[in-house]
Amino acid sequence: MKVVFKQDGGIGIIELHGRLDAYNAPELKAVYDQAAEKVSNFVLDMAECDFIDSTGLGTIVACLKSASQGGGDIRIARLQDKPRMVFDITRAHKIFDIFDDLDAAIQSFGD
Amino acid sequence: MRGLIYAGSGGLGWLKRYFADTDPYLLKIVNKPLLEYFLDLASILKVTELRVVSDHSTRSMEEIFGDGSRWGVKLSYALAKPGDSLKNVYLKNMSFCKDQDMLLFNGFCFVNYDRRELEGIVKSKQSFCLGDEQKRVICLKSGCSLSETASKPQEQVPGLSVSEINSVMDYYRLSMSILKHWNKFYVLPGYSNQKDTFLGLNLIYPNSSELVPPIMIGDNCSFNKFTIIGPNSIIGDNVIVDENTIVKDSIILDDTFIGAELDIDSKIVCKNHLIDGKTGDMIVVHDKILVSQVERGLVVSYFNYMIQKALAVVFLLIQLPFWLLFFITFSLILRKHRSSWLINKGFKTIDYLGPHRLNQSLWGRFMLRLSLDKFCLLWHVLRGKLILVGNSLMPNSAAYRKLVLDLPVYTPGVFSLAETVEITSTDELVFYELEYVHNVSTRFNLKIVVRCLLRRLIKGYRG
Repeated sequence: MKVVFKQDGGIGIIELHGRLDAYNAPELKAVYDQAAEKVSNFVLDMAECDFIDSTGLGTIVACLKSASQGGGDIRIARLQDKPRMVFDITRAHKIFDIFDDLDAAIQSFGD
Repeated sequence: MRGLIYAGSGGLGWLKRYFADTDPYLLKIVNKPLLEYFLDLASILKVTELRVVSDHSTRSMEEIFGDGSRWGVKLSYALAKPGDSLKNVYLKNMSFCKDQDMLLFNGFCFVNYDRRELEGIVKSKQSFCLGDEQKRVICLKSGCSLSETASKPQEQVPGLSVSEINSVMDYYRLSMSILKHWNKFYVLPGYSNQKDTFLGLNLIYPNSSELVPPIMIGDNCSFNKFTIIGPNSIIGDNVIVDENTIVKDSIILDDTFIGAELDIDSKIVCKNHLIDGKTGDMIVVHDKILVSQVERGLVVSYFNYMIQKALAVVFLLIQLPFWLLFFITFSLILRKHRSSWLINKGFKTIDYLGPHRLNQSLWGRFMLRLSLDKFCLLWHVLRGKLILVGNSLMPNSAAYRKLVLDLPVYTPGVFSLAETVEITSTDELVFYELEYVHNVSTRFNLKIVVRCLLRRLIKGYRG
């Protein structure tokens, strides 16, 4: 899995490529922890993420908790069908705002 | 044109009370899920791509509607946060909605349409909004603002109107009106060789039984002798009506058994819930002879079923000497209490010494490696209470009872897919249960048995 961090103004964009599972989740947490020193609002771009397991989802939730404690938020963009099923069965969609467009997700922080 | 259906669950508490295990948007109106009426209308209005956004779950909708090819539309699904407004949902699906003529359905309502007058809507360049803030249909032409259009709801659009369904009485009235007066306006399921009569597949009824139109009967129904069904009756799929019973002006929902010598008039019957269609009064019937749920289980072939029984006999014979040697002495000396386990959705239980109790001692853990805890369960396979491979057997506790109700089918087995993997939460358990239900086959079952036995032998029990 590849995790890429970019910054768009005050918004951090974390791109996930490949599988987010128990093996790769620490990498996401490490990237997030580093980025959280610079920004508090994030968009998780999951356009290239084709699989997520419960540990991966747990890591995203841990990042969200950490962001909320710092007064920020994490929004999800371009969630693919298979990871969406995991969000559905774990009811994670009740705590995340999910956008199908990256720009709309970024702009939503301005609303 | 594209379409977006926002299946929000706000304000639908009353539906949960009456039809607890049905997704509100899959509630059948004249034997057809509400969502399907939206799809039909979208298809008539030449919508090519449609997205269903739900704030609860899209799982059961996906199972029924799939990719939408049956309706000639490309169907996709998305999730929203509970409480999201239509505007929020629109923004969250901006990539889908951008620069398109959009047809938006919002909330739990019924859209009445007359297809002869809909041509004008397709050709018109005007946006419109019908209905109130919570329940409405909006046709948004490209370049128009959603906020502006939504703020000016129209009184009338030719060929289109919105009916609110705010109570079980509204639901009853609407269903009856469609069956009696508007059945020609919609594509209703079943074949019809007589006016106002719609019959499903595999209907069994004797000569002494009478069907009186208007009537709608679903698939796999069976009516016993001297029954009178109708007039004005809607019978769902998998319904059994026992002898000398009269059903009129009533709605019987899927998977329901109606007992003998009853007079069902102006009622809605949903499994063991008996609802008065005119007042909304409801009673839950505990006497299974009157009305009850027809149990649904995993669909396994006869071949699969016989293989499972044969394997159960083989395992019993192999385990018998070990069980006599270790297990009997263990239960006599340590006197561990048996616990109760759920074997169907009706919360029937069996008692046996479960693995979590055995796991508390070294001796017990050794027996778990040999899968001796399953010996008692194998007897239940021969008695037809369990199957060899099925859903995970769940303990009889409030949390698991809720989980069992959430599953589309619950047919527990001695071995299960969930046992072959490491599970840390109930959400994961649900995931594997659903995966099993979707992939069940003889080969898959055999694989599960082998993996369960090997995993136990090598790694021991991991509860």
